[in-house]
Amino acid sequence: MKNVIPVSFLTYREGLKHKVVLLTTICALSLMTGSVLISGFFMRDISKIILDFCLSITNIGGLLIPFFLAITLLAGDIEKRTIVTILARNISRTEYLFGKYLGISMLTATVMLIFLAATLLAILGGNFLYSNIYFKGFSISAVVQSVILSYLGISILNAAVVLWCSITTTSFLATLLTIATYLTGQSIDNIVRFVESPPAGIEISTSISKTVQIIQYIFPNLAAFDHKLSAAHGALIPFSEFAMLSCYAFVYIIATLTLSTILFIRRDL
Amino acid sequence: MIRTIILIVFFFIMSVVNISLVNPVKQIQGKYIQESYTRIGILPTSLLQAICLEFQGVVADLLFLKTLTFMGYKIDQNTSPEPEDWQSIYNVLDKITDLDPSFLDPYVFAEMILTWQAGMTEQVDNLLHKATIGRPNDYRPHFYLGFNAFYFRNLASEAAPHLRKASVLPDAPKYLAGLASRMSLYGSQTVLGILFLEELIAETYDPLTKQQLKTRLDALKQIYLLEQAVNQYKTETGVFPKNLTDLVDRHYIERIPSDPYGGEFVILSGGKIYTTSNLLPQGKKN
Amino acid sequence: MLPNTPIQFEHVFKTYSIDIHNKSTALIDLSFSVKQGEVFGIIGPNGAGKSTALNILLGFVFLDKGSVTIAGKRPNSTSCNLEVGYLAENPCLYRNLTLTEHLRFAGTVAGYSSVASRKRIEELLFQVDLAHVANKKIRHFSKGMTQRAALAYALFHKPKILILDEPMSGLDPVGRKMVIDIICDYNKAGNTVLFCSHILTDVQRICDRIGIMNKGKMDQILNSIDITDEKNLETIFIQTVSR
Repeated sequence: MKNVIPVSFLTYREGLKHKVVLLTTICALSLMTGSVLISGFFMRDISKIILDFCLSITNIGGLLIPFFLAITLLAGDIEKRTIVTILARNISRTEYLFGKYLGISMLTATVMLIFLAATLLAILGGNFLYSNIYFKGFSISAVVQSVILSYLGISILNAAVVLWCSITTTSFLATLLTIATYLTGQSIDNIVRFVESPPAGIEISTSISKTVQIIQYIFPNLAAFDHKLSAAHGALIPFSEFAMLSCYAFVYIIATLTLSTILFIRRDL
Repeated sequence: MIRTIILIVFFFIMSVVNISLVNPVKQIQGKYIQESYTRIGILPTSLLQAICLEFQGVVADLLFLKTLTFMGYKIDQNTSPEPEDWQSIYNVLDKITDLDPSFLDPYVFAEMILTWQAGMTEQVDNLLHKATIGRPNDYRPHFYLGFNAFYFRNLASEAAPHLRKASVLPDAPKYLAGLASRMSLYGSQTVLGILFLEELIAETYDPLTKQQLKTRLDALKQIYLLEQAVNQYKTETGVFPKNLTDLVDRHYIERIPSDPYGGEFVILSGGKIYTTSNLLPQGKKN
Repeated sequence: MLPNTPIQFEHVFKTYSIDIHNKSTALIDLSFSVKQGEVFGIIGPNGAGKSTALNILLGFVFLDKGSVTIAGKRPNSTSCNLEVGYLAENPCLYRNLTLTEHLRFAGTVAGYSSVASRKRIEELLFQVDLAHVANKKIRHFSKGMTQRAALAYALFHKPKILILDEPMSGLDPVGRKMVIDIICDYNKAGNTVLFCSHILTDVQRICDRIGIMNKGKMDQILNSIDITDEKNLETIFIQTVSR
């Protein structure tokens, strides 16, 4: 597996030079500046408003990587046959997939770090513009924790992109499947809870209930990684929960990448 | 070259037309503000949460901004909100606090506006109960609950436990502890109202809101002065003054103060001070 | 040492499935071998299965039946790729990276130290005459420059076997000559070259042996010395294909 690192750096470099990264960064930074100004319309929860906006933008910025860049970097690689540049070397397909995944993860981390820095700047700006009495609830560790959790959720989605790209032939299909994974991942928790204890007067057939039960073991529970709201109010989640979520993300990613490899090494390119 | 110039001129004409269309479009949109706003309030909470995915915090913020815009729109139209408007504002505030139960602004907004202007203390209390769960370490929800019970419903017994709970929470103003026990001694709710407003003003950033609160505080201070004068008059003469000029004639006050809301102060039987403005902005229907 | 026949196809069959009901046959019983140190050219009409054969050889596509060895090993084993250099039909370099970045990657993967890698990069840039654009993104390269850049990338680790898919297509005469010279130099150093092309004159000029593929089969293998003015490659090709 020694070639994973060179492949990941190649991917990382290529991704960084994409205009998408620069454009999203500029957009996001201006949006964050906007959020500082908007927060003035509110009465007192100013730090919460700034954080709500900034953390959401950080999250969306991170999500752009799996939705657009990762697909370009992976499915585009296969579509445009640039993949042969790598595979004609002494690099196995497993190394290729893991390297690509690592490169994409590094890209996501870079983008989210920039946004995190911008978030902290926005808080500083808000502190300067308004009074610091509105920033009493602000907790930097809660913000960092929530961004790390968002990152883990997006990393799961990145792994899903690797899976979809390794079995589909077009980037369009891979994008659709990734969006479907995201939406399912965000709402599966709600749906399972709804099915498990439906409101009075609503009958749920056993077949639907069974399907939903099965789906929750297949798709990732992405909603669990959303702790933006508590971070905006300055609340940390307990370390044990944080560790459990990290563990879940790690295991899910490894499983997904392994499945991708199994499917990918048998595939005609 | 000529073609480029024609294109540039064409672009400018189109831009001007576009600018002139901005306001008509805004007016059309204005017609539907109310409708769309009302519709948000009646969405089931679970559906709303599902639509928001992982962006509930931001959606709550934006809905609250929409509420402020809606109020602004109503004031802009020179109409005070009708009862059904108040109801939709309440519905939306309810949704906002479902999305983010720890969001302080909508609770404060409800407490500042819905109680004083719409008399919806019961509904506001519903929201505030949510706040006591969503913001367990905040004294304000309990403080507001106590205030509502005492000021609007004149129920000292109901207010006291809330104020006691508020007084032990972090950052609670020092006077709260004593307030719970001494409340019934004040005889009128005015002092609590003054304290409450001072508290709100100290914490409000928005200059417009701050101004509105200050006007109300001024009015309450005038009422408090008058109440004190009436009480003194009563102690010294044994009867309540018939009208405010009595107080001036006997030099309890120098002149009849003016109501910042443009109403007139009158003394009700039993010595209570009332203003014809009812502490609501005048010059609008309602 | 490499075996005497570094590349060997034996009774190879390959079908692609277009959809559930339709399949297209790409290779039917393909057998041939390339000898150590020779230049072997494959020619054939479009759809003859030339690219499929090369893809199988490099392990991009899996065969259905038969056996293929390259450098004495099965395709797609990463160790055999250390002996193989490959230039794809439309050079597939990353458009947003520079040539130097590509070559540095090739160096890292082939296990070169950074000093050795830098030296080799300079050497190659000189060889393909791209030193002046080494730090430009590939997207700004012309077709010919890209082709040469990809060739440099393929040659980085001094492979014993070079596989080229249409190396001369779309190049101007100068570019073609440069590619041909590089291939000839490379072959003179004792290495094996396998390539496929449409341009018969080039094939005739540099190949030791020429295989004519048609409909998934190797129809005929010629020694280039057998080709004369009366019985030239074009005539043989057209006769073979229209049979």
